Amino acid sequence: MKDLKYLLEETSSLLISADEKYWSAKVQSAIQLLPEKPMRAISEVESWYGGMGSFNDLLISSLNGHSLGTISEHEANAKLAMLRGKLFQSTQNIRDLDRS
Amino acid sequence: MTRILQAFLLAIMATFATQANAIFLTPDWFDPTQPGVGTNRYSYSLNDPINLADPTGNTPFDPYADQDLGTCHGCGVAGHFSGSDTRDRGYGSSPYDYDVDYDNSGLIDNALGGGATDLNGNSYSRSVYDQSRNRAMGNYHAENPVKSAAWWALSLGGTTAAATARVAPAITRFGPMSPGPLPAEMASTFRGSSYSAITLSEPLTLHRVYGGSAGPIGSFWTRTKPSGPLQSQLDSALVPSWGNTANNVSTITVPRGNTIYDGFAASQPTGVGTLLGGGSQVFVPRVSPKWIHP
Repeated sequence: MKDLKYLLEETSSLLISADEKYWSAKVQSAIQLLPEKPMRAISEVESWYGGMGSFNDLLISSLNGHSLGTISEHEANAKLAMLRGKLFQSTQNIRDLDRS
Repeated sequence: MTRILQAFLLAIMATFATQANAIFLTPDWFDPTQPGVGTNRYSYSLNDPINLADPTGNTPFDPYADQDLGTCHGCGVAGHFSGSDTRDRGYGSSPYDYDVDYDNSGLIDNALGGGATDLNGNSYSRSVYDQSRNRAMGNYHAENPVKSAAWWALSLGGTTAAATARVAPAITRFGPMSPGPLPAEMASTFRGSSYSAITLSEPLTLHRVYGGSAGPIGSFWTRTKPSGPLQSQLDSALVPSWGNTANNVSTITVPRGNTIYDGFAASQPTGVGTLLGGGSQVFVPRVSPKWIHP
């Protein structure tokens, strides 16, 4: 759970830095939900993953209205993809632990 | 791609269930407004298998006229004979006429069509025999999906004279029993976690819907030109909480040589129900802003 919180905070930080408002708000709400209702927070995170328009689909790009400071779009997207994968894996690990 | 594989299956499995119905199991992924697609996207060769061939399931053509009836958008594997058929077009209106009247005499010719080469007594063996003989003659007669597919498989063998075969894209199929390169969070968005990795042999045009929280550029696209927000929501299983209002459409052309991941959208829970998905879904790992159409 500690890992999940850390990953959510890292993701939130990246999204805020890219001026991605919608998904940074979602991540923030999950961070707030995590201490009180952890499984609900996990369900919330899992629901972000899908196809077109989902968190999976998000690309940081000036075409999407994002703005970046020091890092390039390529670096930002590589970091986002890494965090996205780890977040998903973290939720699955917690689910596995919960089941066992 | 599934339709191409089905055509292959039709070619190699004489007992494949859909032979009797002469339809494909999945819809033609090409835009229904394009020539040769039509509103029934499951149909085979515009429902005219007597006179037309449709080996890919996307583009019917008249093998006699040596001309496609619709534009082939990236089907990539079709070929057809360039020689004209001198036979009567009405010949072979029954799937069995073709075999028994093989020698184009207008008479039943058991020695040629119904004899030793028809080993299994099923349509596949007959079609292979007939297609083989007619390839040598420069003729091709499309009668049913089985025969067309058999011809297609044979033409892929590279022995067809004067066939105008195009270069096939590199395709690798992945699924739960053979996991591919996509991470779980991406693979699970395809129906049955099954998808094909395709290295494009020619440029491919893709579309996406966006609006609200979703931007014009992203990783997920579709082969089907969107026909409205509601249809897109259903086909692509757009969960409302993701914030994609689907009011706009953006289009890209992915250059040849790039690898895409192609399949069908998985169903998605919405909290109050399930969106079934099932529409074309393409994951493009690296999308260049230069590909987007103005």
